[in-house]
Amino acid sequence: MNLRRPRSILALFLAVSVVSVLALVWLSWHLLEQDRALENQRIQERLERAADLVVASIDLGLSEIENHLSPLSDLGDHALPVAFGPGEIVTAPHGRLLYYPVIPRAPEASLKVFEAGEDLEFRLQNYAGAITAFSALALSKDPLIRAGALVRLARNLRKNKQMNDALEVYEELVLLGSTPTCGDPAELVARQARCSLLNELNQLSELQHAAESLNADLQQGRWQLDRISFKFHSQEVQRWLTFEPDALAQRQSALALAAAVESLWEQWNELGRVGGDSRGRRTLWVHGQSILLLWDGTPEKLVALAACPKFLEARWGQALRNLGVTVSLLDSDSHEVFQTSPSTSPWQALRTSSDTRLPWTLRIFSADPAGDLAQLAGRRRLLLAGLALLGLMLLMSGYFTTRAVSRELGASRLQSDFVSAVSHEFRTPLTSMRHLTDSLDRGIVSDEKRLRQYYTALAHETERLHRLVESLLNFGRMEAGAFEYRFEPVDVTFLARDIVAEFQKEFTSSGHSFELLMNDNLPQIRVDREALSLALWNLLDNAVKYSPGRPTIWIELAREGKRVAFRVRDQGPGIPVEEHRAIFNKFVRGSAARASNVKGTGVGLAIVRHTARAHGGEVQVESRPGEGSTFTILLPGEE
Amino acid sequence: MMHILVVEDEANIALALEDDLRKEGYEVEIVGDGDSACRRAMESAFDLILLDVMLPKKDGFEVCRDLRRARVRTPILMLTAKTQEAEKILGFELGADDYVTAVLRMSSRKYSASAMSRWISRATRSGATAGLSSSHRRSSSCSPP
Repeated sequence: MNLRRPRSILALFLAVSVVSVLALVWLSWHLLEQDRALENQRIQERLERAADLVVASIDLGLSEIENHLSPLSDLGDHALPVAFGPGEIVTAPHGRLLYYPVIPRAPEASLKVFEAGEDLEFRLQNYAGAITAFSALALSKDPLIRAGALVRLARNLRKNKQMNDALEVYEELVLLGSTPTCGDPAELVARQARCSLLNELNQLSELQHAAESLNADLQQGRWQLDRISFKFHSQEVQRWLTFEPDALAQRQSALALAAAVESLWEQWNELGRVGGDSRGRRTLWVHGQSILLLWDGTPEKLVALAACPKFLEARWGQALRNLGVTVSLLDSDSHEVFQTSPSTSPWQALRTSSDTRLPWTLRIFSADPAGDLAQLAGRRRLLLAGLALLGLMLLMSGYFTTRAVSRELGASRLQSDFVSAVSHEFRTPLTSMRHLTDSLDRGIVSDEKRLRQYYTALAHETERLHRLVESLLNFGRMEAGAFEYRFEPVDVTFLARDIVAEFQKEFTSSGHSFELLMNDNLPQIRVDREALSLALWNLLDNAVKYSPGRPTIWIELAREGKRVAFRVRDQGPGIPVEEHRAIFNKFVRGSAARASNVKGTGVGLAIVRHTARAHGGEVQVESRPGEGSTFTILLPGEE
Repeated sequence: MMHILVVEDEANIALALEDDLRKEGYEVEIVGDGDSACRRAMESAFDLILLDVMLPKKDGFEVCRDLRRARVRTPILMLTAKTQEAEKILGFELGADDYVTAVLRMSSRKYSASAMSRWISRATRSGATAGLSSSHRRSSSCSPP
């Protein structure tokens, strides 16, 4: 049989294992990559769906507001409904618009009434005369004339250094309220002038008080003013005040709304001229804020809403947060309007304003990127563990298969060695016999003594063949479990003597001497005479074969506790410790056999072990290289 | 009379060989292992060494190699029945040395002393001739007729 050499088969197997493990690693890597891509896609899809939902809900929210736009509905501090009507009418909830884009020009008293007094004041610089003249006018029933007169009266009193009188006049003027004078409500003009006068008089605590109250009224939109008036008055009053940052922000928001309304007004006026769309949404970046503008109307009439980011956040923030995502709104100039919560998610879905009809670009992030990552990591761990397990199983199966194959190969090698060894064992006696019979046949041996030698030799070779055949047959039966042991009480001393005597007779030519040592009080044991003889014969045969030139072989029979020990000791090359177990296996021959060309089949010690075990005993070996070997068969004695 | 050293560990084969060769008119000495073979071959001058390959302790190849190293130029006839061993002998590069090896690849039935003695006379004749010319000789593989 032409077997491949075990090493090359193992190398092949190892290569296959390594290749499959590498393939597994490659596969796992791709699987992980794909899983990652799939998970990214899944998160992205989720975000996209959420983005659609966000867009829809914001759109719905805007539409709702648009459908119910009314200048009177109050939407809180951060949104301002306004209406523009024909004839420059701008309506907004009272006090909510800081300044108006346009205000109807109210009629004032004719300047002619004051011409006489002003002539005294400006041309003649006769302040006392002017005071008299304006005092008279101040008694007029017409509030317009009164307001105009009081303003002028106070001015002349100041010029005439009658400061306290001037203050009194301003207080009187305040009572005229929104009566217009000098383009502004009389009250505003009076309080503004009073503050200025207090400042001049250095009455600081009173000034502070008056300025604060005036500023508050300005900020609360007490008077309907246009932008220029409002800015002038608020700048004037702010010179005398210091602000808390909080109040400043509040004012910024209101200012932004007013500016947005003004921008919308300008846009509407242009649209009015060109026709144009009735509905609209846009954002406006003003005073550091992105103001949302919604409007609905015609060139004649328009309702609109201006809203700060805070309004949007208050209205939709919670609803958007409930969608499980973070939403960020960017206006057309990429200013962030608001973001529902901070996010570090690497995934985002984008909705541009051109896609959505919304005035913002929306960015939607995962609200819980860590959770997404953890989910991904969890799956990856699971996958890796599975693959690792698979790899381990592959390696283990590779290992076990390799081991099994190498054992099998070892066994088949041993078997083939056995066949070759047995052939040789047969051939040697057969060759001898053929030579001997050939010589006898040709009659070249005539000497009687020589003839006797030939017969003895033939008998010896025949016996050798017989033993070989018997030994192999017995081994075959033992292997098949078909060997029938016939136990009987035997006097082991006789048995040992017989075997040694027989062996000596057979091997007179080997030049060995056998020393038999026997204890007296050996227990009676039950053995299979034939099997035990064969086992002892095998031990003796080994001792002779492995110790050529070292003539003494010791055979000892001793009592060891309740057991009987059959010990055979030689002075041969010894057996390395690592071979002590293997040599008892069938077909195995030790390294000494190969080194010294010792002939044999490799089943002798297997038979010895089998026999010892069948007797309930065991076989032991004590040996070291260079120190000879001792084989001991230990058999249990009878109770 | 030709003096032959027979190296054979199997005593009974040696017995038959000895008688056979004596009958053919050779003077025969028998040794049973490789060490004795080397020792004897170096001590005395033999005309031919009949060397078994399978020997205890030192095998036939080693005996052959050791003798060549020791400049023992006796022709050696190696006996083997295994094809594998015959190949090994042929592969020995023995042509570099001044001696002759004939490998008897005999079928086991013809492996008899009389057949062998015919081969011995042939081998020694050619060995003697070649030895005089001291040229390199190829090893020859022969089969008995």
